[in-house]
Amino acid sequence: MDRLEGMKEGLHKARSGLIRAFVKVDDNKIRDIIISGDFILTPEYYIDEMEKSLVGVEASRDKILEILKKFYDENNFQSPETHPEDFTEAIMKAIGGE
Amino acid sequence: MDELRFIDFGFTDVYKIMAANEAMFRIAERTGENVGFLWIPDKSINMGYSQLIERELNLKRCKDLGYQITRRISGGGMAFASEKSQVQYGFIGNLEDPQVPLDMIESFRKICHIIIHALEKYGLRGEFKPINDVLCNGKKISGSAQTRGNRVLLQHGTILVNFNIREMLLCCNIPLEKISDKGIKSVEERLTDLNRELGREVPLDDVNKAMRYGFEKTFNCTLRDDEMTEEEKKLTDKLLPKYHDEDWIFRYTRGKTRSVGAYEASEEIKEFGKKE
Repeated sequence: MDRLEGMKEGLHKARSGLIRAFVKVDDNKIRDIIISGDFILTPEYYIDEMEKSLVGVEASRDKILEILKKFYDENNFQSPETHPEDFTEAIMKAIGGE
Repeated sequence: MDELRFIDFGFTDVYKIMAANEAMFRIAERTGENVGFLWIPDKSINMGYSQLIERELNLKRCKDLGYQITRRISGGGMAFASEKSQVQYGFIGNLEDPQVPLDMIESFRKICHIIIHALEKYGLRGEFKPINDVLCNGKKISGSAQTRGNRVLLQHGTILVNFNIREMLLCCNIPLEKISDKGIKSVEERLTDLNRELGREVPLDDVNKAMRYGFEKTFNCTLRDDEMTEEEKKLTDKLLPKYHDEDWIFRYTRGKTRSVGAYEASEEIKEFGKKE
């Protein structure tokens, strides 16, 4: 479980389920991220793509939300009642958390 | 649809049935064929695409209690199957079929009517609770998950018949002291099963029949009993190792996949779906 070492966890309950974000921040940038949980987003590989889109991004709410909104606009997936704001919330809780 | 291709897998282990689910889904992406299916799961824990399993479960307790663990291709939460506890179903639907709604919540609503009609057979009233649950007398009796390709969706889920809440709590990564009578009672307030609702033991074979009725009623069709094709069997065999593979099950932290983007071995499978 080495990858999880140094990663902080943030939880946020979206309508479709719980988002558990694990984030590693270094030099105010997201270095590694896992977006896990039992929320619904399909096709599911877009969740992996979402993680990739966030690596290297400044660890601030505005920047993360901006990237995620763009990600939603540019990609064709469904995530019923689960929005960029939900993922941002989980990630920000991780960044500010234990 | 007048007729629905239908497969009853009977009692099966979780690895094999999840490989079969994926194989049929991939091939249906090419053929566009609707399929319904049922199975009775062996003791197992089937986790969603994005769950960090090593955090969600107490792996030692799962092993000691004899649970097989795997990860499926669809999202959502844990599908926990204690011994002889439930009937599970699958439905592959062509998104161009007027009976298969494009909107995800509407498609959950439609397909979850399989459960609602099955409950009717027992004189029970089921109620769809968005996004993906069916309630009976206000408590969850069924959960479902769905994944989508370009052409078809795969929805799979469960109807609980004789569910062991204590074992589920033991397998989850929660402190032992919380698995008290009180802890179990609090889950019982939210979760139910057929035996509890009816106050008698319902044989799983009987629930199978009710689920068949649920399929017929939901899609206004007759069921055409069938088996997997040679091609579906071949792809199931090809996919089977993935469902045993720790690089897939623990895809966030193990071996070659322990990086952002995780398990991406599905490319060859996508390819397989395209070939004649």
